[in-house]
Amino acid sequence: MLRNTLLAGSSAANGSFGILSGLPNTVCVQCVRWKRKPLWLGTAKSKLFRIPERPKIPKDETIELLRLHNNYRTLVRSIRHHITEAVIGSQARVDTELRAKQEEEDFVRCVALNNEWNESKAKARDERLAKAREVRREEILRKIIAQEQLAAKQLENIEKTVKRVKEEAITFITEKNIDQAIEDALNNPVDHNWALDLEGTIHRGKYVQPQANEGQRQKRMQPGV
Amino acid sequence: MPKMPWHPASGTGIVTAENAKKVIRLARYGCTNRPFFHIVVMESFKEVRAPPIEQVGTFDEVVNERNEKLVSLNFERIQYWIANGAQMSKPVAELLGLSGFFPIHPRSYMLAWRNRQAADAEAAAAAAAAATAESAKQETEAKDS
Repeated sequence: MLRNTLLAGSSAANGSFGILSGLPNTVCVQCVRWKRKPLWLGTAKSKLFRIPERPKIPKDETIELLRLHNNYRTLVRSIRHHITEAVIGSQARVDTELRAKQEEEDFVRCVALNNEWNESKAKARDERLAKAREVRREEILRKIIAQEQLAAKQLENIEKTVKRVKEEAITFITEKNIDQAIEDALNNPVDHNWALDLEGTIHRGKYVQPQANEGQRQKRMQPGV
Repeated sequence: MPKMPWHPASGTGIVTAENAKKVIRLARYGCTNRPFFHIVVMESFKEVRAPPIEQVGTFDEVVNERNEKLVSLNFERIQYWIANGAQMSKPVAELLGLSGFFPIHPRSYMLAWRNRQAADAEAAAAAAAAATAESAKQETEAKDS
């Protein structure tokens, strides 16, 4: 609630500096408390013995007012009681016994309903599981049959192969007939040095045998020559 | 632009002190030189412009063009708060008395008879002044004749 009024020192405006001040401008600060006297100053002299005039209420008026106030208070008290009772009476109250009974009934009903649902659900589940079991059994059987068929086929294939190999085994080169085989190979040299044209004709003996210039090739391949 | 409150003037519904005394009273929500009052339920220790628990009416003190002072009151909520033990300030009790919810407050009666007395005194003074003027006129007429 303090309003500060800053009054700039007039020394600078006059062009002369203050005696004590080192500053060119001195600032005078005055506090003005809402243009009123400070709180600590007390009652003014002129107002010291002033006594405020008391309101003069006639005697009959006083009595009448007292009577009216008494009546008013009584009436208001009774109205208050009435309102309170009316409001409390209008509030919804809970009958605990009835509530407990209703809850019990509700619980029994819920249990019955739950049992019914459980039974129906169990029936449906049994049916579903039986069907699933049947389907699974059939699937397994089908798989077993397929497996057996596959095994039989494989065995047949193996036997076929073995039969074929046994037939071929007569022509195999073994320890007994290896010398004979070598001899046969040396005696019957096979010349694979042939050419093939676009018509598929084989041209044999047109080119020189590899062993004819073997010495020359080896000579060429020697390092440092 | 009036200084608006930071809370909803219709009431926050928040009872900060459960055991504190509740009071139905006027709260000034007008501007400078234009009083306008809300009738609010508040804890009695709260400031005038503190957030009220609930607003239960309004009171426009300034008369309108038909010389009426407008008051609105929510009697249901006032009943509720009275049943919950809320007290009432004197101006609110007077308004409730004039609205017929409560008996007429003694202050209303007092104001009425004082106004009547003042009117009677004024009329008597006017009549006396008229009589003196009449007598003076008659005297001057008698002197002239």
